[in-house]
Amino acid sequence: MYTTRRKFLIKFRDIIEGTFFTFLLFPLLAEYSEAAEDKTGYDLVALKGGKGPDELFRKGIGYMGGMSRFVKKGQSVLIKPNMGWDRTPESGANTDPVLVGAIVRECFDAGASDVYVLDHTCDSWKSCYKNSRIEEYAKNSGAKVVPANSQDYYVKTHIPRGKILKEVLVHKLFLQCDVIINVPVLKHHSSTGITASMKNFMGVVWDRYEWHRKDLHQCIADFSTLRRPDLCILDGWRVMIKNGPRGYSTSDIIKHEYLFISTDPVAIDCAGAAVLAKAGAVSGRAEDIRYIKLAKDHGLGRTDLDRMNIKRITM
Amino acid sequence: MRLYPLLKIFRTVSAIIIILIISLTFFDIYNFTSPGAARYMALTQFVPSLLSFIQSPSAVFSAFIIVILLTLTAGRSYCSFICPLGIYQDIIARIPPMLRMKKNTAYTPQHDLLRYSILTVIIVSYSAAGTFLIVWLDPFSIYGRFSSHIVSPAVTGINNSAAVTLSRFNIYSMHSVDIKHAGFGMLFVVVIMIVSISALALFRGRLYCNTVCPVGSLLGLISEISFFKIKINKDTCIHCGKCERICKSSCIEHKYEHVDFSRCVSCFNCLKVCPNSSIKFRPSYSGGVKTEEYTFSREELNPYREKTKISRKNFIAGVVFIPAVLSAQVPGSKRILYVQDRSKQKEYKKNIFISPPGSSGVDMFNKKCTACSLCIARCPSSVLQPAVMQYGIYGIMQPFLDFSTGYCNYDCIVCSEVCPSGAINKITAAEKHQIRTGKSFFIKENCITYTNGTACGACSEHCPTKAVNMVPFKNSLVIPEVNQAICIGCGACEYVCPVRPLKAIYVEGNRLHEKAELPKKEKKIIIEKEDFPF
Repeated sequence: MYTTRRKFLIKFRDIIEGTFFTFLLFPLLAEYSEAAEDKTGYDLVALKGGKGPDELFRKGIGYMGGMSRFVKKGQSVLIKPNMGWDRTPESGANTDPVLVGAIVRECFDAGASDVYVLDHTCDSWKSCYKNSRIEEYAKNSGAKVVPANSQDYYVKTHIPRGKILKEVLVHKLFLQCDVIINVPVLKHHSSTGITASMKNFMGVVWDRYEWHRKDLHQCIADFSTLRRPDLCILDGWRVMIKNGPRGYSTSDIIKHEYLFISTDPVAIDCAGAAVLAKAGAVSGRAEDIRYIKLAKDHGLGRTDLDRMNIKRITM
Repeated sequence: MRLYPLLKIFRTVSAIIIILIISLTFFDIYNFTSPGAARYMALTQFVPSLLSFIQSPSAVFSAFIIVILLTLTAGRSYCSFICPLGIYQDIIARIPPMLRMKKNTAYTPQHDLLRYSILTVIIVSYSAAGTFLIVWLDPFSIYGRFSSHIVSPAVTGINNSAAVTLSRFNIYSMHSVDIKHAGFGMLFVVVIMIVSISALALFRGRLYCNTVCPVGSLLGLISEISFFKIKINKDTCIHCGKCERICKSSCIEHKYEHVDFSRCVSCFNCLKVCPNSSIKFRPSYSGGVKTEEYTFSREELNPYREKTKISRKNFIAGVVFIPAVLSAQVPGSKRILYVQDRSKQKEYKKNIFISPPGSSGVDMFNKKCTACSLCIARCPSSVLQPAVMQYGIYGIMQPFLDFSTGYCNYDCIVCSEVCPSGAINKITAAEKHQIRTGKSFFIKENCITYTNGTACGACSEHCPTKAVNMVPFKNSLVIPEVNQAICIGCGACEYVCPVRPLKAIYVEGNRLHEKAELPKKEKKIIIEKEDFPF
């Protein structure tokens, strides 16, 4: 066998094709096949790194099956960020405004008719809305930033499965909206240990101090039985690991650059607790946070992080 | 002269604009105007600018000089053009003619003894004891309290019902605002004051301005030597009496062609009604009729004096009535604040109530504040409330930090930005972070964690400096602990404490504000990039 010019050319073409395939087409195909795999199967999507929480979110929501899995055309959406404190985004006391803006835009892309953003704040509400910059970002993305400062907006609701908290004044949009997206920020909390998704719903009720009076942990778990959020997005870009939930200075936060997405509020709180436990903010295992355990007893979600189907992405 | 009707129209239009602007600064629930702008609005007024000027002379506080110059030129136009209480009285005085009621505004002699003794007492008491009496008599403060304690809640109520209706249709362009109003005792006092002034305005014109108001008396003195004055031309006057009937100050006596210019508020109504322009607004030294003006005899005024006795009696009755009402209110409102069933709770009593940060101390504050309530109206967390007896007799109606209605936001300096009378000095947020207006005290026996054995920690949650910190308690619970060195007395802990009727944590005021330590700077934790912990 001798090499003719023709054979050489054929060989050369194969090599070129092979290179092309391996270096260009294969990753593309891999991407396609990845897209083809069942993306509704993950219990939790954990992301890390990247340029910002908005980029993490856009990447992560794809692994949850896209926003269209949660928001159907013409539906109204309530986004509940944590903007309870009159502090700047850098302090990590409130949800990252960029993230909220990205979620709002994604909701509209999925065909949402209205997107509402609200929080019953701790500090005076106008300063909170303004200085957290969530109002600005959400409005720029087209959302309606709605007041929650007056009892007029709240309606009395019965909580059928509540053990201690049986009746509560809840913001009417919480009951009205078709889809609820909970966008808490991961923080240390002086009394409950951590605050993440379930505790964030204290911002849709009128009398939060009633919870403190009765039994804070049980009330948090009880309220979570009222309505399960359709999607939980836990902002762990800046994690407050001490002096929470208000924080005092930027030395209270670690820039972990995490973002967790799940439909399970208990699982996502567990993941948050694991982060804080690693930083030494809470002692022991995640299940030691009493309200998480109580919520699990209510059957609201899973706490066994090691047996969950978790998609981990580092960017 | 054709110009005279124009003068009156000019007066009406500018008065309406001024009262709208001043009122808007008090019930600006949407915060259209910045606190600084509100302060400048208030600084157009005589008393706030004078008091500020006394404390720190500066061009910003020169409004009172302009008012004096204006008075030297054209009489007490301040009372008709700028003073919101005066304008309010003019508006009220329009009601009787609409109802075809008769007003008694014929000429009455002035109550010189009463008005100048009030003025003297005010000046002497201010130099000796501060603003104690000015609180009660300054027209701007009276109007401010009226609009912030009565008009503003009413406006808020209307706004709220509109907002609620709109929110039914998911329109949130208007929002509800929590109606904040003073205690009912205080409301009663404010209502009594404004009702008595309105009644005087209804039936006796500007009697309040010319008898009680210290600004009116002072400007009246100055206007005696004013360049322009209202004068009646003896030769052309036909004695129709129209000017005397329309004069709201009861200072024109057509019979003698006499105008008591110390009481004239330069409203120019008389100029407009005069059928043949016999009454004129002209330089006082030009006519040469001056000597004749003063040649009326006192005896001829006796019939009028009979009339005035009634009003004086009414007035004295009012003066006696208001403090009587007030003193009756005091124990009542105290009871509302404190006395409830508290058999099982550990008691505490607050001795000193807190003055706004920036006032540098309770006593200094009480001496400078005129209780115009602008800060109360603008406080975003509604922690500022008018005092009943919290400051004692010298601080009635002045704002204090009421931690049952709110707490002082860490970064908020609105009250120091709006205060027109210099009672609350302008401070920056960084300065405020180190002003300790009071100290926090924790009562373990009342705490939910101690009595119920459940987690709470609301106080520590809200503490901006972490002076209230959670320390381990039994059964893996945590309980608050106070580090008073870094406490600034903002009252967040007391406001949010869910324990009732008494709280488990409270703030005791500092008579003199102290400098608080800043919390220890902790080292920033640097963690090398780590992977997910699960």
